[in-house]
Amino acid sequence: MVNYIMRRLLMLVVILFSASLIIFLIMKAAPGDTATVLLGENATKQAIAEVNAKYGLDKPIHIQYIKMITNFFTGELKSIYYKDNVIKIVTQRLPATLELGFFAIILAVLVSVPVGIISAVKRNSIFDYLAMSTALLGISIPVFFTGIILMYIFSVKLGILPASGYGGHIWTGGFKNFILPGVSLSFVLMSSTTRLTRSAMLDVINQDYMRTAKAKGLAKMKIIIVHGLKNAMIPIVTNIGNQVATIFSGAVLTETVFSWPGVGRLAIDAVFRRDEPLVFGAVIMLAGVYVIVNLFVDILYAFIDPQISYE
Amino acid sequence: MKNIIKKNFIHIIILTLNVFFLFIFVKKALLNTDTKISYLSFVLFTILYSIVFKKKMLMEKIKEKEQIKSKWDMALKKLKKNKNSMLGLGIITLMIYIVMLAPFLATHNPVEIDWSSISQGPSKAHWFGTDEFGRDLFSRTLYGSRVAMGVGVLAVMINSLIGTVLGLTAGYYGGKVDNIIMRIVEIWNSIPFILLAIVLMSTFGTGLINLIIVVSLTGIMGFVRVVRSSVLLVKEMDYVSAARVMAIPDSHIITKHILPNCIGPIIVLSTLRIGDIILTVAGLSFLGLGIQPPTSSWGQMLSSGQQYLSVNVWMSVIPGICILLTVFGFNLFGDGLRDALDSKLID
Repeated sequence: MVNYIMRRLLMLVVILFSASLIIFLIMKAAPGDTATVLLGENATKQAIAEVNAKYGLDKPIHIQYIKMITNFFTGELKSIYYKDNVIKIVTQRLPATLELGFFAIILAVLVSVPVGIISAVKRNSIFDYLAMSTALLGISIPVFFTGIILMYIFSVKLGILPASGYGGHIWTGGFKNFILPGVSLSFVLMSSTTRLTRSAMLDVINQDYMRTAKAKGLAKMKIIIVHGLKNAMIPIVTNIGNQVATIFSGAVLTETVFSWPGVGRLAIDAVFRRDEPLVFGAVIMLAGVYVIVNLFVDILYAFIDPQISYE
Repeated sequence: MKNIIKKNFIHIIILTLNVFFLFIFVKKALLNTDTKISYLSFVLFTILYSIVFKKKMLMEKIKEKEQIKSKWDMALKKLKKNKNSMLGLGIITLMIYIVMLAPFLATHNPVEIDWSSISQGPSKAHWFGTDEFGRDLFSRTLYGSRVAMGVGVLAVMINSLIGTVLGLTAGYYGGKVDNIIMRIVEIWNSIPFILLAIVLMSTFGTGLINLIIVVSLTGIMGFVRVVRSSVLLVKEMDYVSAARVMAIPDSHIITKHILPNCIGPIIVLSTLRIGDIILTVAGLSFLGLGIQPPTSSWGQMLSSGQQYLSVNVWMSVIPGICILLTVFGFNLFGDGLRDALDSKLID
């Protein structure tokens, strides 16, 4: 197990470096050179050369990349707009995004697993039909549309929940602000997990060991939870792991709808301000969070499924 | 005869409807280049449809005589029985008609600004109301379908093409080639899509073509994985070994013996992927990274609708429902296809 985690951590570093390289290369592939973009079309050759020398743009591309990475880690990579250390700016915004993401994931699990189980147990009932239709709707609806509709109903019409903004940490009284963005972000994950829980449970329900448990005279609840859910858990966890990416893109959109001061919004704003160092930093750090979350999901498998060996 | 009509009822209706549309829109057809192209594409669509229809009738006759039933016939039969997927197909067909006939169905010019009617609700003059510049929302919605469907279909084609080629290569040759391709795709996939899109759009700029490139480049992973695993299944079959023993070139084995076995999963994945792409394109447009105004796209309409939420809720509800409906259609149909083709590889 320790071996496995070590190997995965090593992989993580490799992946992050490759990701940063890809992003760096894409940025370098931009049409027109940076100095001309900064100085305008009429810049003299001397001015361009000066800018190139100042930002190290006259050096070969691999040296530029190494410089960017070392600057990033030593905290010398500064945002053009904020004139501050990129890592600092991003870490200030990170809690808001992470809290929103985790809130959405937890909410989704709390709702979708019971609903999926009931749907599977009471197959083809009205409940099943309703739940499945809602879930199908949920994976088809754009996350920002859910957000706007919720905002219209609960803030504009009823006026009971704040329409936008971040009111502090979830545990320090900002809970009310979390409800609308959290629910709209959660809806997609909720729907896909409900669908998956149902199909995983249906696969399990007809297994021999379920019949054996029933024949032993165990309580129905116990059979479903202990024998059924335990075995259906693997695809469910896999799905949540796969959906982390969806949560990520959803978070950027939700942050935009609800003016949420998170990293996603920061990255988008940086794009519009042509703040390349900040885009680079924010994207690398978000990718890092994403890879780490995925690693946690993989480790979680080991606890759920003893059959998986990590050799 | 009666049996034939009953069996092909839906196709006959579609063909009559097409001819009917061709007749009533012929007057408007030469109005401008937009209508000319739309009319021409509709004519082509009708001709193509009738050719396929005729061929299908012929095939059916032969099959009935010879009592042949292919895998595809069975899948089609299963698909037709599935009411949900037929509903999905209905929605998709409706959208295709809207895309082709948008200039004829629109009541106003979608980019015409009218300061005398700003942010109005639905009325007789403007069926879906107007936006903040007084542009007719009904017409804008119709034209918005072109962006969504156009980008969706085009991107999925590029997506599946790249994914299939990579998947076939990785699966067929195995070993080092497989390892290299899969690692690269995995790393590519480990960057969350939205971030990649942000970086790509920020360096290459916003616009239709860039948007298509961005969404085509991401989401290749699904295709590579599915194609690769079906190649691995087929590769070990006797007929492939036989072909290899006969020294048939690899390219021939791949295209003639292996690819046909991967078509099912590719079709299912493509259908589901179009829905995803429509959502993504709408999302990027919503963020301001996609299609730029005044060209109408649903995502961008929603984005401006949000600013006028308390004034005119229709500005956000209508494009939102359009996205929802289209994606819903593709998801319903894709689900049905998956069940019919029994592709367990895709979950």
